[in-house]
Amino acid sequence: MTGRKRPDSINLPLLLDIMAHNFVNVEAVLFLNTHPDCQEMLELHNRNAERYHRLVDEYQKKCGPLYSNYPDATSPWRWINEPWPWEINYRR
Amino acid sequence: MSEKESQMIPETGRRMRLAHAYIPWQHFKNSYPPAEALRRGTLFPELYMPYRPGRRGYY
Repeated sequence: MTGRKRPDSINLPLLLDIMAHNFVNVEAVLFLNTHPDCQEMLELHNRNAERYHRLVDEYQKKCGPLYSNYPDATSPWRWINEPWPWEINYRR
Repeated sequence: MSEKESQMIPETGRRMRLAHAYIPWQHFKNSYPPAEALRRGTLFPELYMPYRPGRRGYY
């Protein structure tokens, strides 16, 4: 048995939600780098990060690994089945 | 900062060095929900400055 036959199906709404929370993390981190004492942003960062990890967890349980270090990998190995970003139609 | 290095800038009321850039300090007021932030390319409403063709000074 070799390689990948076709990409795994994805859950687009969930994936977009993950991407949005990942983006909020980038913004919060940039802000906190220059405003390390901003309590409101720290709270937003933590709320967002917690939600992000819950969404990633949910996605990986339903659709397969988003990260190669996924701790619950099962046989057969599915990492390579993940569609490449350009195989995803984000606007469907 | 010595007299030689900086000069009084009347518009700001401060001594500043020529050819140095300044960015006003940002205070966290409010934020877009995640999907909205991703769509607009910023978490902060005050930084949402989309390019509108034909509108001068809005890049």
